[in-house]
Amino acid sequence: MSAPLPLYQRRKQLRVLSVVLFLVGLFSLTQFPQHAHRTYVSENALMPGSARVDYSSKDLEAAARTTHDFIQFQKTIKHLSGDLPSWSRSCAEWIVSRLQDLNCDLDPRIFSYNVSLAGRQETRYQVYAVLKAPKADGTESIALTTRWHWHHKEAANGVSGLGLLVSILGHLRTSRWMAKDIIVLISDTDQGVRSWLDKYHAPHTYASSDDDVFPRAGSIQAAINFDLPATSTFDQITLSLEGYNGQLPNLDLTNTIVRVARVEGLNTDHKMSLIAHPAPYPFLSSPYLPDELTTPMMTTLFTFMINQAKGVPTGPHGAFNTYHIDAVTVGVSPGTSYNSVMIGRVAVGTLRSLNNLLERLHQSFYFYVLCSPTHYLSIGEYMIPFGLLVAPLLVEFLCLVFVFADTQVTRPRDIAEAHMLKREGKTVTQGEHSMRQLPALLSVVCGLLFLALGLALYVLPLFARRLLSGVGVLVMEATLFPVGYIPFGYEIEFFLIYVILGAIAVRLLGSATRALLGDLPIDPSSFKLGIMIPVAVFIPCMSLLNFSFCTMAAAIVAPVYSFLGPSYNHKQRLMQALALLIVSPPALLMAISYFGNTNVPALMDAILDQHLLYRSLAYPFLTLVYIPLHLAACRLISLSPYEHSPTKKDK
Amino acid sequence: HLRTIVLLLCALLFIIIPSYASPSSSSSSSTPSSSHAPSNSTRHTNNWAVLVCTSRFWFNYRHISNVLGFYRTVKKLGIPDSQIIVMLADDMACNPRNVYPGSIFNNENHKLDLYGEHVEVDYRGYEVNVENFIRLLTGRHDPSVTRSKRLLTDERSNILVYMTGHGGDEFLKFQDAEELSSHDLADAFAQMHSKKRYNEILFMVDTCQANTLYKQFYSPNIIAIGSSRLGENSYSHHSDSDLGLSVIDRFTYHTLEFFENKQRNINNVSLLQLFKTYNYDKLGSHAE
Repeated sequence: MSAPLPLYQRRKQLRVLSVVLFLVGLFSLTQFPQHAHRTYVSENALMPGSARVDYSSKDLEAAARTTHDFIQFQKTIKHLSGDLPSWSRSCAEWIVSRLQDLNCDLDPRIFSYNVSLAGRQETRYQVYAVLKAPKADGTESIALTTRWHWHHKEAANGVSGLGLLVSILGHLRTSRWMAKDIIVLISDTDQGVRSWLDKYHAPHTYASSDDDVFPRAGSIQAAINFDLPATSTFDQITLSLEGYNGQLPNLDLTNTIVRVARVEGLNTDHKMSLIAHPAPYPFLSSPYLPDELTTPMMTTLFTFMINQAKGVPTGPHGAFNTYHIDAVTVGVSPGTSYNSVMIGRVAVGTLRSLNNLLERLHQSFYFYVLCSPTHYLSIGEYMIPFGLLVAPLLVEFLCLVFVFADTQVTRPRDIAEAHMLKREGKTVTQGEHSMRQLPALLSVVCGLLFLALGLALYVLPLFARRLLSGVGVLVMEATLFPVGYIPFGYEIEFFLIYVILGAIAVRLLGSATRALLGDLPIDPSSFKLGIMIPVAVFIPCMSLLNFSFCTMAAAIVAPVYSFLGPSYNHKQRLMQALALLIVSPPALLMAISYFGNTNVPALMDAILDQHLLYRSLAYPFLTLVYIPLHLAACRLISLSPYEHSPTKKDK
Repeated sequence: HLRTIVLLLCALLFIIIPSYASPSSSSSSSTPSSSHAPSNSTRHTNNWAVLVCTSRFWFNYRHISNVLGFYRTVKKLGIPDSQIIVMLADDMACNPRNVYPGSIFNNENHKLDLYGEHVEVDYRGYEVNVENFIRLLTGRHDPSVTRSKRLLTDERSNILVYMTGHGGDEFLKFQDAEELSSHDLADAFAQMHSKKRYNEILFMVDTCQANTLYKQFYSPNIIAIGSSRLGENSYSHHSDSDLGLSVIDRFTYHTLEFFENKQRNINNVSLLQLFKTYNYDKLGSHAE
């Protein structure tokens, strides 16, 4: 044929191009802060900061008094510290009595819920109350939540979240601008918010007795959680936004709080931060990194992305996201720059602003990355580096699809020839292409068999968790003695377990493959197509849900798995094997547990728990996609290149 | 045959003569008279006002207070309630967010409650829409519509039409749901002219890009003034930190201030004097 080569046959140029795109994508990630825009309030109804806030030092004194009284009360019930449910109940009852003293109309209630901690179920108690707006119609509300802790560090005039909320309720009693009810929820664990929300939104019938009454306040428009250590002065206000599986609240909520803080006199460029104290990832500021990557904006950006990728909410506000309620956690870092009265003013100012809303926040972004509370990048901008990172994977995938399609197409010339031969009464022999049709198709199916392995891996621990963890503990204890003495003993053990189990799995799949193919040779490119289908579908689609996670996954998967293949060259095979070793699941898990200061079994437990609680992506990715991909890639590079059909057109 | 002709002539006379009788309406005291040719001033006998606020929601408080400020001024200067049509798209006084329930202010000193007693609102809430407004101007109502909702003007009426809200290039937004275009407004005025429903119209509009709204007028005897040009915004005058929003727009504020100051010698005030008080520094836009 004198026609130019079809695109998919220019494999080498395409590969070089996609590698270049990948590197450009990596580089562009570091350029985010320079291209970030300043935030702006999109919802005109909010008008943040335009109303004067009357929260004064009088209210602050009430807050400090409540905080102090509660700490004193907790000292008197120290004897209950061994019995958490009773301790929880006593604290809840104290808070209820305090709220009742405040306002007879408040009707605070105790809500009991079950929490499973360290494998056991426990009953805990939390307090919630609804402050009804006298002039409003009670169909909408704003929620304020906080936690009480075991021990508060006693600070003179310190204000904790509990004190703040009680003082806000007292302040709002005399305000005349409330158009929405205020729900106050004071809990002792983070799961409490989740259970309360589930009950709030569950279908319900009318209460049959006074104990069953569960006061509701219509649909909750927004929620703010306060996480304050009992300090009287602070240095920075910290905002935590990430919710379940990296879902974020509407950016306008952050914008409102920032603007109200600015109007109250806070220097929002320096004294407002997205990183909680103490900083969760100290390695981001390590001296080994170059200077451009350790600026405050870059550190904030990476912290934001890691938090989002983990899928674990950075505060109890994450529970509100499942019900499409925008929520943030407001905290402070200790210091002496500002008086705690400012937190009260920011809270009341934000409430007043949210009070002006006519409908839920919907004008601003839900998908964004923040480099600081005042600089953002929207989805239209951050998807471009992601696309560049995924380029090698997708380019390779498309090439394989074209190659596969080529094997499946019976050329018109063959069909015409066959007809002609039939008419002439001669026998018809199969064309070249059709000789590769069946093996190619079956090879794709063999590749997809690994998906079946992934499904089994995903489902099994969900059903047989106890059994598996029992087995795991047994293995750990059996090997404890010898392994502990060998340097890197545990790491080698994990690898061995993985290799043994992986080899068994691949063997089983190999016999299934043999059963399918019979005598036909396996087609490596179609096999590769089959094994790449899950990852090529998972990463781009899930990036819409959790961008950070898929970016990191793409950064690992794309360079290693795109260009794998069986080859003649021993050096190439060695390098491929080495690459696969570095990114093997045990190695990745060990690297993550090292940076996260935990160990691998605990990490695996945590990944599964987080998926069950928060639907985070780490577990599905690992089981459904990554482990099968890795095993299949090992199988792929062990294929001999001669195993495919004699024509070398796809090389 | 002759008899039929005479009867027809008599019938015609009986029809034609009454049509020359001038309709009598209550006369009013002075309003700012326009500087125009003397021949028109002899025909002018009564004044009407149509004051329209087209936007709802709490953050558009200032549009309601604009109209109520105009209402108060217009009533003080002599137009009676029966000849004022007030259209308010929302109720701010009873909005739960109002820290002064039952009151509407257009100044942060809160000295003047515009929503006191004797405020007659003719079209309220969702009744303020484009269809009702055009029906009001052209007089094409359903027979069941009450007199207080009709513009019962004749060819000797001078009408002040004041509109405020959110607008843009050749449109005015009604209630966040529909728009009044400048063409429709021009045609409505043309209908009014052909139906002899006005002598002169003073058309004032306070929105963003307000001057575009009267660009299409083609009927005679209309003076129109808007608060800003194409591409310009109209700004609010000041905000009230108690209420937490802006309470009046600049164009309206300066207009009303002009009339507060000119109360004593109102008979000798001309429109030109009013228009001269607007300048870019005060308004932040070109009122033309």
